Amino acid sequence: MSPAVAIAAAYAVVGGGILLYLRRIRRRLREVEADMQAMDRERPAPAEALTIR
Amino acid sequence: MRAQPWVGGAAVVLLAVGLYIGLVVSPPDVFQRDYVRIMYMHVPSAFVAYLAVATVFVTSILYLWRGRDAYDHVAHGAGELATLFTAVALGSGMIWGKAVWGTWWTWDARLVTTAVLFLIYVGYLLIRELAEDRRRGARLAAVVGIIGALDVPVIHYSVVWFRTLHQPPSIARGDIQMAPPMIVALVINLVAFVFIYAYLLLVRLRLERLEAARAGADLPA
Repeated sequence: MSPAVAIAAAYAVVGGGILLYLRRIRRRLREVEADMQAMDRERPAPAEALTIR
Repeated sequence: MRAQPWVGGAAVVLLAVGLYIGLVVSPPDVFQRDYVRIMYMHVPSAFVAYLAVATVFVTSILYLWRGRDAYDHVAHGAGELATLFTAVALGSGMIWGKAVWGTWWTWDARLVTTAVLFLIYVGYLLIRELAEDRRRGARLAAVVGIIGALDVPVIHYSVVWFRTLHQPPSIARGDIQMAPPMIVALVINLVAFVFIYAYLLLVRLRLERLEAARAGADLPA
């Protein structure tokens, strides 16, 4: 294995591992944020707002 | 002011500087030639794995003692990062081993104890994933995280206690056996990796808090 190939492979393993983990966490974060927003929209309006209307 | 973007920005800048010095400025090693540049990714990965395990150790003790979910959230995130960084340290080490020793793997004390740490933390994550009662799973995982952390001193001193193929520490107390540009590159990359770890942990904690809030909102009133 030439030095260039070995260095590229080792750096790709480390960098790739970190980036894959970050991508997975960000995707889960987006999903949870979307769920929270959907729950906020589905929540009924407070009683005071109905009285005013 | 949120720390997350600043920590992420500092990590990117430090990593860019560290990579430039490590790949361009620092000289090749007399024996290993350019293969030595793998050290600038491999050693920081292993160091951050130790740091993540230390975080799990401290926060697991605090969780078992105080029972606060906040400690468990940090332990869970750090446990994932301990697994990740142990895996990439093993992967980059195997490539370095193939290039320099001529083999991907050998039953060497340093390699075996590191692989054991990886397996312990895979188990730690599985316990959390498979537990039917979240709190019971968290308590059991905390015990595994504490016991697993005891492997770190064994890994560190394995090259001193046993006759190994893996090299002994190049930076021991009061004795540095490296050229100054190599030390600069290594230290900058070590600091960059600490910032990467802090950034990933902050993102993971945000996810953990939001997931806990969602689980609370799902419960019937």
